[in-house]
Parts: sequence; C-alpha cells; structure tokens
Amino acid sequence: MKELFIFSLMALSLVACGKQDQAVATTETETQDQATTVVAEVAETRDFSSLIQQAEDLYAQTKAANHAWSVNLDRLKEARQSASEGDMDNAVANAEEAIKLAELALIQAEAEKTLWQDRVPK
Amino acid sequence: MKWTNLTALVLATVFAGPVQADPEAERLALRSLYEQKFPGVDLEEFKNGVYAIDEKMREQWVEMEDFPPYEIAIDEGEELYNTPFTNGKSYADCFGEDPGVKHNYPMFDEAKGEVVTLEVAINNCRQENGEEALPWLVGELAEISAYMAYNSRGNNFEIKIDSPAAIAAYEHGKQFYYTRRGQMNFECRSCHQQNVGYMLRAERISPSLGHATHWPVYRGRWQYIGNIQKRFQECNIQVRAVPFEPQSEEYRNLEYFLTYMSNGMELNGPGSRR
Repeated sequence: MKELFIFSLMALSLVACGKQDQAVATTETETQDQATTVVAEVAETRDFSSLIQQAEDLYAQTKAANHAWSVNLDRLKEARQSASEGDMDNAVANAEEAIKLAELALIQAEAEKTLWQDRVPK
Repeated sequence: MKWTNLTALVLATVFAGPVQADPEAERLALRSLYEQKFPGVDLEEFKNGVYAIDEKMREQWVEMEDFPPYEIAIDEGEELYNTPFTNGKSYADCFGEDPGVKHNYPMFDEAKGEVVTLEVAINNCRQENGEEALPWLVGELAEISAYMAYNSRGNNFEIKIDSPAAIAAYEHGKQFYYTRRGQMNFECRSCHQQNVGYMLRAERISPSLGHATHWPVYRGRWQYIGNIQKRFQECNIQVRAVPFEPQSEEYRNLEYFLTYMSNGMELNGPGSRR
C-alpha cells in the first residue's frame, strides 16, 4: 500500500512536470511569435518610412519638372492614410506604386523636352 | 531684375537662336490643318467652337442663345464695373471709357516681362486702387470679364507678339500645348487637332482654332460662368495631370499662344457651352 502510494505520487509529479514543461514551451513560442511580429512591424515601418520618403522626393521632382500626375498624388495620399490607420501592407503597396508612377512621369518629362517640337503643324 | 524678366530674357536668348519662331506662319499652318480636316466649313465659323462642325448640337445651342444663361453675369458685371472703388476711381480709369477691350488680351507687358490676361489686368487695376484681388476662376471676376467681353463683341482679336521676350512667352505657351502630360500621356493636340470632331463619350471634341474667342463661358456642367483657365485646369485633370495654378506663368502663356492662334477671328464672348 505504501509502495502504491509512493508510485502514484511519483506518477502525478511526472504528469505535473510534463504539463509545466508544456506550459513553459507554449509561453516561449508565444513570446517568440510576438517578438517576431514586433520585429516585422518595426522593419515594415522602417521600410515604409524610407519608401514614402522616396515616393515624396520623386513626386517633388515631377512637380519641379511641371509633369506631376494626379494619380501619383492619389497613391501618396492613400499610402499616408493607410499608414496612419496601421494598414502597413496597403501603405507599402501604395508607396511603391507612387514611386513607379513618379518614375514614369519623369521619363515623360525628359522625353517631352524635345519631342513636342515635332508636333507643331508646319 | 525680377525673376520673370530674367526668365523671359534667358528664354528670349535661347529662342532667338537658330530656331526663330514664326507665330504668323504657325497660325496660318493651324488654319490650314482645320481647313483640310473640315473642307466646306468656313473657318470664321470656328469662333462658335464645336458648333461649327456639329449641326445638331448647333441647333440646340442656337435655341439656348435665345435666352442666354450668361445674361445675368453680364448685368452683374456691368454693375461691378461701374461701381467706384473706395478711392473714388473706377475700372474706367484703368481701361478707358469703353470697356470693350478684351480682343487685345492677353497682351505682353514689356515692362513686367510677362503675359497679362484680362483677369490679371482687372485684378491689377483693383490692387492699384487699394482694393483686394478677386478669386481668379469664377464669381465677380468672371462677371466683370463677361461684361467686358460683351462690349468687345464684333471686334477681331489682335494679339501682338513684337519683341523677343514676347516671342519667348509665345513659345512657352506653344510648348505647353504640344507637350504630353498626365498618366494619359495626352497633349492638347491629342484631342483638339488629332481627334477633333470625334465623340468623346457624349461630347464632340472641339477645334483649337477659335478656342479663345468666346470666353468667359457659362457651362451647363458648371451651372455658372467661368473663364478659360478653369477649362485649362479641367483638361489637365482629365488627362490625370496635376493642374497648374490659375494665372500661373504656364497658363498665361498657354492662353497667349492659344489666343494668338485665333487672331483675326471675331470675339463673340461671353458664350454658352454644354
């Protein structure tokens, strides 16, 4: 009887230890996941900051060249708005599109410096 | 020296180089282009814009002209024009007794080295007499302009380009007209020369010859009278470009070029359009 009692106690202890280990492991995974999320968010925010800066610089160049596109401005506004609402995926997507549009507008501005002359009726 | 003067001087130097602009030859070439596109249409009819080339729309327009929607603007403009400024002077002190001077605008102001549109001249007159400038595109300024246009009816446009700086401004306006802009990659020519007369949704595209003859205009879409630079802004927006500020150097020079293209044509503003 005494042996049975000691065996049961040991068995219970082992089960409890197992559960505790499992709990510790779960907590560690959650912490790791949270840390990964925070790191990703920080990285995303840092990416967005540099992206939106690049997009705004390029847009300013299109303005200076008198070739700003309204859709470019729309994408910039949408990017800023999404970022302020925490929707970083949409913010980044819009900032990237704004960059592409500004690059196209600058190509247009450069090409049109001379091309217009061929269009004047003679 | 003001920046505008300096810019004009630099542009004048550049354009006085090997390629000397010939505004008159370019005006005649533009007339010839429309002559070929619309044989049988008297070019003088282009003062009526798209109604020169679309008979059904012309019928509707003629009916609308029986009770022109811009009439109230003319009356309001007359009252504003004849109301003395606080200092006792009036617009007549700036423009003379006859308010019918619109056919001479835009003009190149040699002293300032820049193009002066009628709207700029009206606001200059106000500010020289201690009054505040009026908003550019619509409202009282457009009404005064409508009254002055009404009194200018029947006169032919006589835009002068007689100095290197004036030619530079004309060239700048011409460059604007023939430059592709916006995501749509359109120039003014894309619609008003290459596709003139075709339908764009429910609208027939108007010719550039005569584009400047009938402003300010009461547009059904606006439900009020506005000036040509408001339309410039709309065109830029339609091709997905960011529009320029009203009375910016770009738009003033564009108006100068465009009005010169209508030189010799009769002023028939203010007008009405759909």
